[in-house]
Amino acid sequence: MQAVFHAEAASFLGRGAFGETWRVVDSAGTSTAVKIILDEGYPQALLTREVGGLQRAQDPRVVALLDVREVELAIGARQALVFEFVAGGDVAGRLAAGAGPSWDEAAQFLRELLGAVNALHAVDTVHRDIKPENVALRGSSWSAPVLLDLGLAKLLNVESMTQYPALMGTLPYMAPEQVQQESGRKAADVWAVGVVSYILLSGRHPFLGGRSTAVLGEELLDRMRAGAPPLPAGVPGDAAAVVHRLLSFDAFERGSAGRAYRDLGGT
Amino acid sequence: MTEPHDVDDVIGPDDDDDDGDRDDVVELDDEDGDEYDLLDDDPYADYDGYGDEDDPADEDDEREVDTAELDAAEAAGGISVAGDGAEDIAPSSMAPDLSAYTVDISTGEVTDVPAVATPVQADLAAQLSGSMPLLLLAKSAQKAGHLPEVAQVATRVTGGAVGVGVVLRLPSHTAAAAAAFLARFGSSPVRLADPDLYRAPSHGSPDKAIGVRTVKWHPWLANAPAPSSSTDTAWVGTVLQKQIDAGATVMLSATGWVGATNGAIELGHARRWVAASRAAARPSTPMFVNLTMDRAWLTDSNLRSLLLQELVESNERLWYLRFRWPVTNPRYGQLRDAAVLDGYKLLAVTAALEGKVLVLPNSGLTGWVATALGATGFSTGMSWGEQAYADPRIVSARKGEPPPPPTLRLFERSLLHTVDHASHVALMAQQDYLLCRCRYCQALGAHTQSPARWDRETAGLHYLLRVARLTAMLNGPARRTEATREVLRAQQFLKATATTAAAPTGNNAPAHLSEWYRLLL
Repeated sequence: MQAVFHAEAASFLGRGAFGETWRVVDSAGTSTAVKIILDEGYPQALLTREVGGLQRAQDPRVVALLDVREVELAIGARQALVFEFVAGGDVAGRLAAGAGPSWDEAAQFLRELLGAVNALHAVDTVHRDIKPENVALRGSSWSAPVLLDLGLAKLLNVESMTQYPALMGTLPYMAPEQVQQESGRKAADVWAVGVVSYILLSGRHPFLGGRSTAVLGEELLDRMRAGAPPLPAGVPGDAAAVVHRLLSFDAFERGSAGRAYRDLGGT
Repeated sequence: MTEPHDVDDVIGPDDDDDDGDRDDVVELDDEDGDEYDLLDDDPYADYDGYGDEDDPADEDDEREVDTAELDAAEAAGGISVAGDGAEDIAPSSMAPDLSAYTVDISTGEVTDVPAVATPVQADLAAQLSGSMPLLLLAKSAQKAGHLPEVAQVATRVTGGAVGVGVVLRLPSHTAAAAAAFLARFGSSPVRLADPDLYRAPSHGSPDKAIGVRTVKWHPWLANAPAPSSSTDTAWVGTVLQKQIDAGATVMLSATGWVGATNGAIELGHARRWVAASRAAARPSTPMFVNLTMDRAWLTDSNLRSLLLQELVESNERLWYLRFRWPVTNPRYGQLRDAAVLDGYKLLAVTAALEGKVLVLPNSGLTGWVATALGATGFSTGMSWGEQAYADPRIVSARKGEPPPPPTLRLFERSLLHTVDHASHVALMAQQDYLLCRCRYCQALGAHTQSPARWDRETAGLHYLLRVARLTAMLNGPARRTEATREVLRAQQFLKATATTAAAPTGNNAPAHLSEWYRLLL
C-alpha cells in the first residue's frame, strides 16, 4: 500500500463492500485502523454520513474516528478513514475460533453493546449493520464491546439518502421491517443486538438455527413472527427477558436501547 | 324549518370557538335537548378574556365565588370554607404560608394567621420529570377568572401532591389577554399557551374553519404552512415566540393535525416539524411534541404501532398528544369506546416504560385513567370542549325555539360521574354516599335538596377541584392500584343503589366504570 502514512508496519484486517481495512503502526508504535475506500464510486455522501455519525457519538463503546485523509495508491487517490485501533479482535473472530462467552459474560456484553447503541441513538444516528464482524472486543473482553463500521449509518434528522425500497444491512441480522424492504430505524439496531446476543447465549441463530444459509421471504418472516425459541435454562433471567423483547416482531415492542440498557443495570 | 347541525361544534358561551359564520346554529346539550346555547350575532360578546381585557363582561366573570356566594351561603346555612382540605389532609400538616401573615412591625404581633396554608408546588423540572401527576386546568370561555383560585385551592387540598398547571388556547385570545391570564398563575410552574395548530386551514383536521377574527389576530395560524411543505424556520420561530410572549413556561412544538389516511407519511412530516421546532426552541425551555391525531392512531394496529415506535425512538422526552374521539354520549360523561381506551392504555404503558412524559390534553377523566396506567397527566376544564376533543353530534333543532332551562349537574365522587340535580339529591340519601365539602359545593348548597343556589360554573369549579383530588391519589408507585380501588368503590356504591329509587339511570348512570375497571386490571 502506498500512502501518506509513515507506517512502520501494516497488516490486513478485513475487506468490506467498498474497500479494505488495514492496521497501521506508526513510528511511535501507535496502531490505527485505516479504512480505505477502494471503490471509486463510493458515494461521498455515504462517507460524510459515516464521519458525521461517528463524530457525534462520543462514547468509548463506539469506535473513535481520528482523521479523514486522502491516500495515494497505485490505482490512484482514495479516501481513507483513520480510526482508533481496538485491540482484542471482534466477535465474529471469537465465535469462529469457538471461544464464545460464558452466560454471565454474554449478559455483560449485551448490556454494554446496548450502551453503545444507546449512545449512537442519542445523537439520532442509526447503525443499520450491527453484526459480529462489526463489534470489536476491547482487550479481548466480552464486557467491553466496541461498535465498528458505521458505513450504513443513517442520521435521522435529515432526509434519508437511501432510496427505499433497498435491502440494507446483512440479512441474518436484519429486522423484519428491513426484510420487508422498509426503512431500518433505531428499532432495527435493537433487533440486531438481540440476534447477536441470542447467538452468544445459545450458540444458534434465533431464526435460522444452525444453518449458515439464509432463509428468504415469507418463511423467515413467519419464523420472526412466531418468536425466538426459548434460551437455555441457566441464562440470567434479566438478560433472557431483554433479548426476547429485543426480538419482538413489532418494532415498538422492542423498546429503546436505552430502556434495555437501564433494565440490565446500565446507568 | 328543522335542519341538522354540528351541535358540539358551534359557538356558545361554553366554547372558545370563534366561528362567526354559523349564527343559525344551536347547541343541544343532551339527547333530550335540555340545554340550549343560542348564538348571538356577535359570538364573542360573552367571552371571558377573549382578547378584550377591558370588556366589562370580563369583570363580571371575575366575581369571587368564595366571597359573594359563600357569604350568602354562610348566611343561609351556616357553612364554613375552612373545611376545604378537611376531607383529604389535615390543615395542621401543612407548612404555614408566610406570605399570608400580616405582621405589625412595631410590635412584632402576627395577625391574620391563615387557617390553612398553600404549599409551594414542586418546581418545573420535578413536574416534568414524570414522577408526579400533572393536572392542567384548561381555560374555558366563561368563568375562567376563577381558575387561579382553583389552582391555589387544589394545590392546598392535595398538599402539593399533584402539579396543577394551566393551558389556554392561544388563538382564542389577543396576545395581551393571553399574557394577562397566564400571569395570574405565578404559583403554577407549568403554563402552556396552545397554538391550536391543528385548526390551521392547511392542516386538514375535521375541525371547522377558523373565524375571521382569529385570522386577523393570528395570521401565523391562518397562514400556517402545510405539514407536507418544507420546514419554515421563521414561521416555527414565530409560533414558539407567541407562546413565550404569552408567558408559557413549556413550549408546544409547531405541529398540529396528523391524519390517518396516509399515516406514515403524515407522521414523517410531523417529525420534520418537531425537529425544526427543537432547533428553534431555546435550549433552556422545555418543549412538548405537540400532535393532534385522529383516533385511528389509537385503534388501528398499524397506525398505533407507528405512533408507539415514534414515541420509543424519538429522543424527545415530552409528549402532548390529543386524540379526536368519536361522538361521546352523554356530554360531560366519560368515553366508553373500548378500542380507543385500549389504545390509550398501550400508549400510556409504553410511555411509562420508556420514561417519556405523556400529557393528554382535553381528555377529562379518561386522562385520569391513562395517568393511572402510565401517562404523566392530562388537561380538563369546566366546559365539555375542554373535557373532550370529540366528533360533534348532529341533531336537529328548530331555530327560534326558546331554550329549555339548563341542566343542573354535579360531578359525583361517589360515582366518578356527572349526574343531574335530581339524581344528586336522591344519591345523597344513600348509605356510603360521599358528600363533597369543597367550597364550591358549599356555595352550591349541594348538601341540601334545594337547587336555589345552583349554577353550572360553580359546579364546574367543583369538578376541577375533585379531579385534582383524584389526580393526587396517583402520586406514588401504586397509582394503578389506587385508581382501581377508587373505581371499585364507585362500582360498589352503584351496586348498593341498584335496588333503590336512587339508582342512576340514563345519562346519570356511570356506564364507564366497568370499562375503566377492565382497563386498570
